[in-house]
Amino acid sequence: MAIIYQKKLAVFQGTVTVEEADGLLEWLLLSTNSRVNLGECLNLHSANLQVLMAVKPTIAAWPKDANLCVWLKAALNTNQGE
Amino acid sequence: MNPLLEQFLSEAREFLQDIAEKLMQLEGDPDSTQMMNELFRLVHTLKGNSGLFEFPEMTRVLHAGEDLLDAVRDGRVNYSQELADRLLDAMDFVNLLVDEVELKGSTGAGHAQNAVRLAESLRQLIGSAAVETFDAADTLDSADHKIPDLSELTALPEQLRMALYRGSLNGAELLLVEYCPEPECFFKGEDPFYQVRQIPESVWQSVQSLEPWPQLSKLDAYSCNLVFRALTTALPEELYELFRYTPEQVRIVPVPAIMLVLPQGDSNGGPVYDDFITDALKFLDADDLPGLKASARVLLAISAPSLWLSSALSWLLLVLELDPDNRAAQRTLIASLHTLTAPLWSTVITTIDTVNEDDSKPQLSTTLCIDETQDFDAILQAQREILAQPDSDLWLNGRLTGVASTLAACHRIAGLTDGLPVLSEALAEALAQASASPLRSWLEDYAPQQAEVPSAAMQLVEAAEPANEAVEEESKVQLGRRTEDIYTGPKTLKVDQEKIDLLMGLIGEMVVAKNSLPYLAVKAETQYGVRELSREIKSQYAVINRIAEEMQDAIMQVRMMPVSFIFQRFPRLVRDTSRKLGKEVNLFLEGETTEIDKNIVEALSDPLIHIVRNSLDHGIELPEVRRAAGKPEAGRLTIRATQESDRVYIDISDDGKGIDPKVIKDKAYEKGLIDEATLERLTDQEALNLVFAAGFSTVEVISDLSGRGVGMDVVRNAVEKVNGTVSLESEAGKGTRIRLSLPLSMAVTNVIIVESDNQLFGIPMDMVVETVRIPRSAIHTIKRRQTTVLRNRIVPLLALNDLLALDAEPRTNEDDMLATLVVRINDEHIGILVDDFRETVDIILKPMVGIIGGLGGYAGSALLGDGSVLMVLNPKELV
Repeated sequence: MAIIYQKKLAVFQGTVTVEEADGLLEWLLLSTNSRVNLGECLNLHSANLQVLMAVKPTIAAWPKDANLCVWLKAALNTNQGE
Repeated sequence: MNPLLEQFLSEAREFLQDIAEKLMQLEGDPDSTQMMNELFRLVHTLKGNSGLFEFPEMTRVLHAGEDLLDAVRDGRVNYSQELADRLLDAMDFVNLLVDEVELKGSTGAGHAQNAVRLAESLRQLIGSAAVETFDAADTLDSADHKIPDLSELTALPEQLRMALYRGSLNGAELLLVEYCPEPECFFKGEDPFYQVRQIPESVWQSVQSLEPWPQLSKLDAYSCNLVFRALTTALPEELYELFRYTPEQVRIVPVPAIMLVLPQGDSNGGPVYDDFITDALKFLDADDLPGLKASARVLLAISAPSLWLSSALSWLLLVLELDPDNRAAQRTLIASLHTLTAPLWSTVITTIDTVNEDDSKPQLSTTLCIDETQDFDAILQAQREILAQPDSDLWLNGRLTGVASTLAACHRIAGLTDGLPVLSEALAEALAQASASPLRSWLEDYAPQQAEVPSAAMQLVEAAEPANEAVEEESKVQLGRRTEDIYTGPKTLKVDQEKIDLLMGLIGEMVVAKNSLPYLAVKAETQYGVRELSREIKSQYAVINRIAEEMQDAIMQVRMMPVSFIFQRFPRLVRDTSRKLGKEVNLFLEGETTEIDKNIVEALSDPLIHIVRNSLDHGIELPEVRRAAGKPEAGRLTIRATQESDRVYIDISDDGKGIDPKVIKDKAYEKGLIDEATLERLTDQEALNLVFAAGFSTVEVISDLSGRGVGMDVVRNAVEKVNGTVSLESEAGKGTRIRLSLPLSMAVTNVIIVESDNQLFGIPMDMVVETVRIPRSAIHTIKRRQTTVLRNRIVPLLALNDLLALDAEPRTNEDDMLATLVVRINDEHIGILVDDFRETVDIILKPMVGIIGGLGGYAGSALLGDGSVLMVLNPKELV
């Protein structure tokens, strides 16, 4: 399982594939104030990315992977203003 | 180059030729549905084939062609000259790619742009939907889009932007990549986010939604709604390569360095600086850069660094240092101090151009070379034609915008910037009126037909005409766009197998005919007594013999096929079968390049499948069983082909449970295949051979894989039909090996001629073990059968005369010895008593047909050199 859903926190691990997107969206819609931990995430499929961009959950931890982190910050931070 | 690719290339050439042919024929008969279908099928197949390889450009163009033809087939689009031209162009492009693949093994990413252009030109013909995308692509090149709004660049730290600005002016060109994936891209297995993350040396990234996000409950996670943008200093080629598969969704544009000049900071302040602005502009007018610099430095020193002003001043100083001649930029920057907002460079750049050009008043001929002038005129002419079309269609707006963008871009490149502001007004007016006339009048004003400057250029062109033509011709050749320029014929021929068979038959007769020469030589000597002639005939015979043999070899080569032809299906078969059985099997294929006659390859395919299935089903055990037996869980199945002189061996070996001879014996006894006495007498190896007996199966349960009783006897028959043999070795617990021994070719058979009751018979040499003469005294009668002991083995003896029901006793020679031909039948040696041995000959064995076809005991007949017919026996059936 690439995403481990805890009570209020979704922990992303390794490669998060396209199949996860539906589950992620569902989980994010069900729980308010949910946070996501991207620390151990190595690759995130675009479908998951746009779910995160649309729902804008709080990011508990940014990825350790530098390249992914830069891009995710570009995607998720600029969007928070909208 | 792998065989698959080779085949693709040779087929692709054929297809392309066929397509071109069909297109030509269609020109004469545009309404032929059948021809159209044929054409569609060709393009469709070629596209499908190209998809097997990594040639995205080829597939893209062919796909567009396929769509277009589909539309024509459905009657949505009419066949036209234009359509044929574009399709031919597209096919020339594909041909060019095929050439490149043949040369280098792959296609470069450099064709991506051409491919997109061609695909668009094809799709444009399909209809309205496509026209829109074409327009979009058209305006894509226009100036408005060339300089994107990058105000978000302020997100980049000022330090970094300054460094980039510096780098950019020093030649490290900055590129903007804008990637707008199509909504369905996830379903095509694309991951745009991953893709953009691969952009090398990106300095700035942005991900945004294409449309505003819908209500969360309506959000479709699987419809891509993202736009990615990045700034990078990577080379354009790298980027094109990266986005090779989706070039139409990506825009890669160079970013002018000036776009990075975006002052930022606290805008606290105000008209206090007006003095400075006035001074600075004066300095600029007076060309006093040092003065301007000094004054800017003073102001910078007294301003707090967090102020917007400080930022702007730093930029000003940087621009003054690095790009001192860019007055317009400097002026704008100074002016921005007044407004305290970042300058909008995308609008400024145009004016910069104007300002710059004003000094020199450029003419078309000075900014463009002669060729370009011609192109320029052609573009303008095309726009005139577009504008001349009736105004009352659906695409008018798109058309007008397209024309305006094209004109703006052309004029800007040509340095004719006077009319640009008026142009946008004209466009707005035209759109409002839904009429092309405002744009037409603009064209008349700013680019009158036969303007003086272009006409001067035309004269120049005329003078330079011949040279020009040569250049054009050359460029055509380089592109390979015209088929008649370079014709690379196909290197492989497809020949009907019948023709090869005919050739094979003829060479066979040639071999036979050549065999008559030795007879002639003997006749010349004995009958006519001309020894000299006899010798000469013999020497001529040697020459003809050599040539005939080489010819035979050559033709045989044509019929040869690598066994990989049948091997290639095994990985899949083994995978599927073992999965079904819950077994783990590793398949090893060896000697795939070994070649055998095509007929044999074809005849082998079914028996091999059967053997492999048997091995998987009965041979290799389940993983648990294997583990318990101390073997690796995954079984090993090896299929190996080797060639030894004129035979090819195919070994199928597994490391499974092997065959227990005792089980076989019991089973055979149970089924009544052997009697009790035989049961006792059989050696283990002989017992193993029982699996080849008809109707033998050891497995009680009939699975869908094997065990239907159509067993190894079928395999043996199939192999024997092509003059091959099967042998089986097995060790209980260790594994089984089945060896097929096959002749290289079936065309020529080597037979030994024997004489019996004054008749000649042939016996295939590959069955003969030895020829011996046995003294009558060495023959013993056991159970009323004649036998003899030969090399410590009891060999049963049979007289050929008895076998053929000839009423004569075998003749002995002077020493009372019987000529015995020992043959091997199913690993048993049997002696056949004949009257005498003759020579061995190469013959073409003709199977018997008609009434005598049903006759057992004969393998066929052959023509001998002296014209007589030789009957060739099949000892297996005889004995």
